[in-house]
Amino acid sequence: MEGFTSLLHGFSVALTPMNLLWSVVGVTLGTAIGVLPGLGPALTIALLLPITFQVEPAAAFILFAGIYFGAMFGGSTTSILINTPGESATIVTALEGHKMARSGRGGPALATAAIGSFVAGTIGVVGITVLAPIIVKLALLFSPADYFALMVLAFVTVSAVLGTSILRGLSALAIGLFIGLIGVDLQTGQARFTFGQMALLDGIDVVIVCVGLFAVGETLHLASRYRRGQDEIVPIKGSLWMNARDWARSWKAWLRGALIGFPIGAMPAGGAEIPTFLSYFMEKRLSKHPEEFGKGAIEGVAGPEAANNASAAGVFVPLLTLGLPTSATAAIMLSAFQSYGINPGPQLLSTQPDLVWGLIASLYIGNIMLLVLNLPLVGLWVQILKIPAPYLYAGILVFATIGTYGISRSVFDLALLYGIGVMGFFMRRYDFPTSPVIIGMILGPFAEQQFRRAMTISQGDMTVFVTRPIAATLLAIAFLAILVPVLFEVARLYRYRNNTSSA
Amino acid sequence: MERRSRLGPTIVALAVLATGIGVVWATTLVTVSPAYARIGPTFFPRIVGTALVVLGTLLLVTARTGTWRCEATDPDEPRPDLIPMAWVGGGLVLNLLLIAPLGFILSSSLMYLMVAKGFGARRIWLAALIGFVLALVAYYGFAQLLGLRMGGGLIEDLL
Repeated sequence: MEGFTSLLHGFSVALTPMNLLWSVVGVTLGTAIGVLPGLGPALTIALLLPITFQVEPAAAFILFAGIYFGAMFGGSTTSILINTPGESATIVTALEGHKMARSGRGGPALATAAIGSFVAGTIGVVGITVLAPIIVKLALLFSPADYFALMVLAFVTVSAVLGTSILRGLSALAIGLFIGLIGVDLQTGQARFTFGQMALLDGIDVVIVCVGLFAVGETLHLASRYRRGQDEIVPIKGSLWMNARDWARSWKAWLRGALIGFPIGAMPAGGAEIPTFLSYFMEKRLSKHPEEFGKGAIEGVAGPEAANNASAAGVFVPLLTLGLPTSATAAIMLSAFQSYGINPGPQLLSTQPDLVWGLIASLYIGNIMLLVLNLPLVGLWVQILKIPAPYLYAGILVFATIGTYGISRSVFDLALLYGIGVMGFFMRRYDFPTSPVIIGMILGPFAEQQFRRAMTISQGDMTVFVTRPIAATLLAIAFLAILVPVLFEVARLYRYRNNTSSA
Repeated sequence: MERRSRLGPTIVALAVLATGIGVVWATTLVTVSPAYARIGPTFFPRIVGTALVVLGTLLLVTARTGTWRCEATDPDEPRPDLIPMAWVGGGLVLNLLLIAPLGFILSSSLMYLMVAKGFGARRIWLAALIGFVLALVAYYGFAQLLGLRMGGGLIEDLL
């Protein structure tokens, strides 16, 4: 159990007064942006990336992790009280949670979400502690060809499996990969796609792409439709606390949700949507009160919220042990590692124990803080929702401008930011997922590097990807992940045609 | 309705296709030293470009068959509301033009005002005041906390 001794050391890092302070700032900021519709953790962390030039790595990552988890807690508050899920992972929470709030049970809904998130976060941290050292041992066996195959698998799952359309997901990924290629090629010093622009030699900053898609694009999208009616905030009536029956119905759902969420989050596929949906349907089947589902069943909030938080913790396993981000937020954190000159991967746990275990311990501490911040103080967070939309969205664009113009003081970058914002608007209109763009642009250069390394080792022999068992297996899974849904679709269309022609 | 649900996706698909063709073409402009001839700096760009061409073509098929379901093709969704978008877009363009000559604080206050107007702010003077204070506080806050340099400007030089 080397993991737990390391975790104890991690607590000694995370519990220093300065790092505790960073954690408080992180979870508070995270809850606030989670509560506000239209803002997310990826955008916030991207705007704060310049902090990596100012503070030591452990402090920065404790701040980022606080924001990440805080946004999860805050997001569930919003989806319960105003039924506008800020993030796709909280859609399920809104299903039952908002019904509960409407029937005057908003308090217990918020409580079961917060306590469930805490329970799941705790299980998640234990899971990371146990799993991370094992994955590291496994990862040491990986050759560059295997790494490349793993990245291909991650690319396919984050873009094709999780979205509504394989084609649009892969297109978003390819756009991201292209953005990642712009600039000087690190191995040969050759400039690619710079079109003679000096400003493009260093590549396009991830902050510009992230803020462009998530802040500028989102604001344009909201502007295109806000006059169609305002969301109503359901006031919290009655007791905040759960009664004995609520507890009895929640605790199993929390545990089940966490046990579904963590493994799925820890897989190189990642994503919080699938575990929340799985948990919801599982609770619906197992519940003694299936008739309440759709009208405000507490299990339908407890399970998915736990699954969401546990999978958020699980995402740290591939990020810290393999350097593999499976969400937009994790991808931004990977670029924060790069900014410190740290390469996440199997060596990270042994070369940066303070950073890694301090970060994991801070997840635990952050969970406790979030419970305190969110349950008694929920009334305060609801006040944030009352900021008038004009002032809020105008403010977001001012911060977006600072975040990019402040780094480079370049009008070219600002134009790029707004241009990518326009692209983000059309991506929303035509239902392209945006996370694959971020993951593609950050992970793409790593994938290219591993590919070339593999080719150097095999002396240009492409068969290395099918002759090495690990690489071949991973690529086969990636291939099937695209092929199987396509075959199902073709079969469905075929059957549909046969039915219509025989009728 | 029928026209609308196909024209938009077709244009988007063509944009993806054009990007792909552009990437493939631009890749041919990268000169490769013969030492890297096999897996050089153009290998990945060519794959990405080809992928975009293929994906763009397939998207074009879904656009023409009318199977592209999204907000823009949903007949229940109204068309985008152009007036607020024009205010927001105008704010962005003005900021782009004025940030270098006027400086961040004034230029972004103006953008704030226009975006707030776009989102239906009634009291313009209040929006202007909030925007100015926010830009001022953010200018100093970010400069102190993150070490960002926002450059000079009309207000910046007075302080």
